[in-house]
Amino acid sequence: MKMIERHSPYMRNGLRLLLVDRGVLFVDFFIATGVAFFIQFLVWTTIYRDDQEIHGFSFNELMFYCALTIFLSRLNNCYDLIEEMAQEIIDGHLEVLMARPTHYLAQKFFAYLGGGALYVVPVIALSLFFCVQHTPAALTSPSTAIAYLLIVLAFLFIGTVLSFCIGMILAMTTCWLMQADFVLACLTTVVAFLGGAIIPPSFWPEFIRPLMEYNPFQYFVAAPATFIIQGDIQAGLTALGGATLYTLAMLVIMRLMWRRALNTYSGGGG
Amino acid sequence: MWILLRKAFATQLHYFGNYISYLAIQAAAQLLTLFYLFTVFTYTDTLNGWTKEQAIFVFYLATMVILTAECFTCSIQQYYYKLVRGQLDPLLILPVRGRALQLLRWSEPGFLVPVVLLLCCWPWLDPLPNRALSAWLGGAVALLLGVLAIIVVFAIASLPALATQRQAPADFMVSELSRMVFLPSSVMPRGTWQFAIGITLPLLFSANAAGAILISGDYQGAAILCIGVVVLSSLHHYIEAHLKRSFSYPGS
Repeated sequence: MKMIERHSPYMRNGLRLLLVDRGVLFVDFFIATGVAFFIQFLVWTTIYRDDQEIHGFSFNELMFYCALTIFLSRLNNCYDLIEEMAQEIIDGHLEVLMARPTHYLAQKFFAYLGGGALYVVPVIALSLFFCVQHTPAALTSPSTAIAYLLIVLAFLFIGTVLSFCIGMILAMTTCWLMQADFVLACLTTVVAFLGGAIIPPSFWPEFIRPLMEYNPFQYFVAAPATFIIQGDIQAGLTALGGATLYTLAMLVIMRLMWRRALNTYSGGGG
Repeated sequence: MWILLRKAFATQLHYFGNYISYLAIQAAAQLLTLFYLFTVFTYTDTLNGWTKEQAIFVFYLATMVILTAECFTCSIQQYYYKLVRGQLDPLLILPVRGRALQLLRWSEPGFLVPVVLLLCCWPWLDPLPNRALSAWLGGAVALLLGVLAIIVVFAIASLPALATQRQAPADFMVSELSRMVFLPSSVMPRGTWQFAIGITLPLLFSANAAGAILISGDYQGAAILCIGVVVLSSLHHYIEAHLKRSFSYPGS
């Protein structure tokens, strides 16, 4: 609790940074998400017939899946994190930030957490709306309902940590590459594809399915959305285990890279 | 104008690595979209009557239209970047028209190179190469209107900079909207909705209007696209003139 209190200014700052640029927020919240959803709606509405199911998804479930993955990929979007840190490395501002009484990585993490706060709202709202409309099997008894809720919350937290670690690892490459443009451009394409924000992993052709089902990006986009919709506790726990393993591995890589990155970094005061 | 284009091309080639990496990323993104399209067609034979080959042809047209438009939207983006920082004054004394400066000074004509290469692939991708001359001409005009539509929407989305002195996220907005350009006209809404969308956001029809003419001889999409471009161009002209009257360039 004390830790949260100590870091709350970073969280508030992260949220304010998001709110202050209303133009970007409007485009990101409405146009970017709306267009992605509209494409899926237009395409799949011509394919589905009546009560047809494709890979266990009815048309309504697929639309909920699309909406959820769009907002989950926005919630766990490390684009701004990489861009900001790359700029700090290029401008030689790291040592100023490292002089603060909080570890640099903690500053970044709590600011990232605050920045994502706004995007949790549509994810929770969509989940509630889906549960009211469809009532997943897990919600039929109180014990499984509690397990369902806990797994959803765990997915949201682990997903945030995992995406943060991936973002930091990519941002640290600026110490060697000196520019983050290429990494940023690749990130958008890779997350949209591998994360499963386009269609569920099971919809892709057989030969690419293992890649779509076991890559780290899908654990913070497709896996939580699939769990919320299908409500399979066993499958949810397995996916959560995978996400935790990936998170631990990324945390180790991040720590190791951080030391090397600092040795390579030659900023304004370095 | 020719000098502006030559200068812009020379600048782009100077940063050759940037140019190549940008094209590589664009190519990867387009290939993934194409892969998505192929996957969609494993669940159906047609998208409201349009076959896989026809949908791929629209995707091909969309790629060319987006790349061509991007050549000029980059320049509009830089124009407003300079404007909000008060760095435009020295450029305004150049003996060129304001619109040419806005569209060409920071353009990226290098993007037209892959467009030419893509045009060479036309015979292999066109599902109906034998069509009337009127359809060829109509298709070409619709493609040009498509490019114009993207540029006009980008220009309108950039206008708030004149009122707020802050650059608007026009590039982000248009790149997101451009993701819909590859959809064939058969999946787009029809009737009143088609008119409403076509007039407010004509860029959504920038490739499929030409596709509809070239494949099914349907000119309705192109007509709506044309109306949309005219309406938005007039609106842009009016708003820009109005805002410029009250805008004081920071360096002036």
